[in-house]
Amino acid sequence: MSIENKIETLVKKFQEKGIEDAIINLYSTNTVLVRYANNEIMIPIINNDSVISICIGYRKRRLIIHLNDVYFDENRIVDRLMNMINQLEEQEVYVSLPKNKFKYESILDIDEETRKAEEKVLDLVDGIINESLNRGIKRVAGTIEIKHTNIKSWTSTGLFLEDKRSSVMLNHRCFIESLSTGQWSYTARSIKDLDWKLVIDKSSEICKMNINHKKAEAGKYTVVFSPMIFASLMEHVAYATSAYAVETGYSYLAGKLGKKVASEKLTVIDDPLNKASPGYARYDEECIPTRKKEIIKKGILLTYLHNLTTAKKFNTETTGNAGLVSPYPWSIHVEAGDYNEDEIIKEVKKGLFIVNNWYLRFQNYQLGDFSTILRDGIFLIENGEIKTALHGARLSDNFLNLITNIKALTKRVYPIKWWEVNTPTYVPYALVDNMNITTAE
Amino acid sequence: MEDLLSLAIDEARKQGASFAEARFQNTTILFLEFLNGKIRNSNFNSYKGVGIRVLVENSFGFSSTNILNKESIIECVNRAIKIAKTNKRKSKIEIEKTRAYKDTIFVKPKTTLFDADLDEFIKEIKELDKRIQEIESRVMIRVFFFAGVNEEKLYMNSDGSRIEHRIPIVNLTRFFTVIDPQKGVLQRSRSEGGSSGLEYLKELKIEEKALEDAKILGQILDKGEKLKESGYYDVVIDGEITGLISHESCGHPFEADRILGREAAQGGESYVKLEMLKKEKIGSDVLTIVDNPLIEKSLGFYVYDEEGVPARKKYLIKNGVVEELLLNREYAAKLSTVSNGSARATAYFNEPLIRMSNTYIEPGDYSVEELIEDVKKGVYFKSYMEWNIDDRRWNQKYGGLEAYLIENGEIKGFLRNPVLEVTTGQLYKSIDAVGKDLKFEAGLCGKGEPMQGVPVWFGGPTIRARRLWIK
Repeated sequence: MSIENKIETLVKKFQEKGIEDAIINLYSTNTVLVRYANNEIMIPIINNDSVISICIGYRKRRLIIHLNDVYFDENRIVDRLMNMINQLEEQEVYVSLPKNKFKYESILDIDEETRKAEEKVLDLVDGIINESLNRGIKRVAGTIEIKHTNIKSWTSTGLFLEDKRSSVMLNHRCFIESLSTGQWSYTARSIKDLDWKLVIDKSSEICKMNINHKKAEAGKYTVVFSPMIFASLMEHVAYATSAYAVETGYSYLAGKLGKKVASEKLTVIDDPLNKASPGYARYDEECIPTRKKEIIKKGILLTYLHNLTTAKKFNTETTGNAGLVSPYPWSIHVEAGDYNEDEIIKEVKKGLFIVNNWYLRFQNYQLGDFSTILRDGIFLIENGEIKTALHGARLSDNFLNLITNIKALTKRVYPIKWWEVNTPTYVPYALVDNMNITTAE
Repeated sequence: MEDLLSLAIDEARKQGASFAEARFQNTTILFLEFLNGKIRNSNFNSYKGVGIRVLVENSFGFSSTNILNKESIIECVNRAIKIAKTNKRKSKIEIEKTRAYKDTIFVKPKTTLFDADLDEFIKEIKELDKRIQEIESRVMIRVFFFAGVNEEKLYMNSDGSRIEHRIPIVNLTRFFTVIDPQKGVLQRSRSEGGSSGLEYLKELKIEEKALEDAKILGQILDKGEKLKESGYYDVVIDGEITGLISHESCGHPFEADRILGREAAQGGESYVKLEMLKKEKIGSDVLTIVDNPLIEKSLGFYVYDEEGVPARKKYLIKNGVVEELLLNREYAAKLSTVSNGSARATAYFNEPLIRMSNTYIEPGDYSVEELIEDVKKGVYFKSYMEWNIDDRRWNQKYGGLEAYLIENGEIKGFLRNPVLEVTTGQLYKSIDAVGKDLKFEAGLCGKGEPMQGVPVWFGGPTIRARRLWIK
């Protein structure tokens, strides 16, 4: 019996046992990942995996299961899950699957070059390494990941849906010496849209500037954030709008719906229907159609991100962001500003240009107090010009202070995704006042 | 399963692999999340599959599958071999030669996850939730995350090794938010767990600790004051933080792959250089830091690593001197030595990487009272929330949560959010006394791409460090 037939049988058997709601998603994923360092490929990895996600609702109880055994025994699964769900208590808020007839956007195909990436990816990586060395870089390290997933979904309301999702990510770091680094990343839905030349341009240019360091001095600065760090910061802002974060104490945006939380310059959009984005998804994990939405518009917090359950708790409608457990953004877009990139630096009399960060940790999520390590280029700006390279600095501030003090954004946005940015995030350069920089004495 | 793994290794050797290994892993995980005394989420995961790593000519190749039949395994080998052969890498990868081991390691809990009385466990968490509110009503948001894991692993390689591990894990994380409209907001997150059954949570006295947390958080809100003046203070640091220090500023930078640049694009590099081994003194005489996977019931417990090498205790820093690095077979060969069994992988679809297990500062012989009584002007850090460290593991920050001012050898009032921001060199050299109260914290250590989280313990006793800048 095919896996699809087994899942259809499973849905019927659940219904025979009195299960009121069932959503079953089958994800079949191929991932090609190449890690390189010291100018050589360290390991190429190819993974094929299928995961079946089952969410069942019974007498206001709910259980979520993920398994990857494609030979599962339908009777055994049903018996085991019924036994488990009977041990659980009723949900505080229980929502049945809607029986509405929704309209869904069309399925986007995955091009052949992306699907067959393993044939040429090693040549691409060799090209990226060689081109970087030709630019005078001594050492490079990075990762390219090409992933495509076919999704099939069934619900107890009789829905059957399909989707095709794909993602390409390049993360590239250049070294001239230990502290002289430059890093950039790029993400796209298709390998043909991967602008690896831009990644080399940006990372090698920063790396060559990032020499002859002086120790950073603590203090308050006007800062120009590059898209690498700004994407990390904006991803945190978008996740703070998940209703899950709001109800569990992980959000500084709790209780601020409809209020001004940020500078008028800041508009943050979640756009799962952006066809160029690797975040493109036509329906969420509850089989609800996704939609584009403004989360923060000109500084006003317009909505939290919801699934069916959190929406009912918050007395609103789902935003198509399930997450069976926790709503999440699909594709984060910060609206561009009107500055050119050289103009935004010229705005700063004395300040910092910060390229990248990692290890962002909170002292207090509810208040937004955090710090993050700055890396891959911290530069002193004097009279509108990038001057000395610095090292040993940390941004130790508060998210509400940060988003309130955004003064200018550039015209071009860059798609960023890497270790520190899990969701595709499209951001410009940003000028932010009054940022607190700390150092070890 | 053994037949499929043998098939994979034989097929890889036939196709020209000088080394091949196959790892089967079957992991089942039960998650329960409680929000304010109610179950918010019940989640059960079951993953199994095979990962195959081959060394062909100059290159590794890795592939995995969850389809566990002969055809799929052969296809998986073909993919790993083909992509390894396609790699035009110039320098040769070698792995240290080791003997073959055959062994079986079973950790048998009193109650397996599926025999456990979940009803009883759920009632206990709900009761604990009530008692927390009774002790401190301002703990407005209370979240408990429970994870119970059963893991079976079978490892085989072309050297002839066959190693089976069956290890259960339990872990409970609590996250409290204390809100007072006048006095502000505090948060506390803490994890505890080990390689054992559900009964182990009782041994860890989690109830007692959670109630103490609630009480202390309330007191910090009521009595905590900002440090009046930034400056140099003697610092007494509890094992909750010294454990994190040993993990972040010693364990990670002592990973040989990081030192030699393999992790440079993600986790970064290291302040440790190969020429420092056995020579460079980076800490005071009283500082000794070890990594030891052989601690029973620990989260980092294993007996053989994921390359079939026996695990052992490693002294990373001994009396302040760089003593030993964490190694796998590839990096042991690069350094012309033998692996010390530090290769771990999170899942069958992940390559094994050099990882920590249980990393801790070895205890000394001071009591906490003795550490404090000799401090004229100091800060006592007992717990933390925020922390981070740079990608060479040199510049680090710890945001204190429960912390006290020390004056003339006595603990004075609560401090609110004092910060220790310091370099590894400053910190390690300033330690002048080490306590005897060794304790361990539960953690999930991240490394690699895709990110692999492996369960670890990090630990230490209370230590005293002289003259550090506190803000």
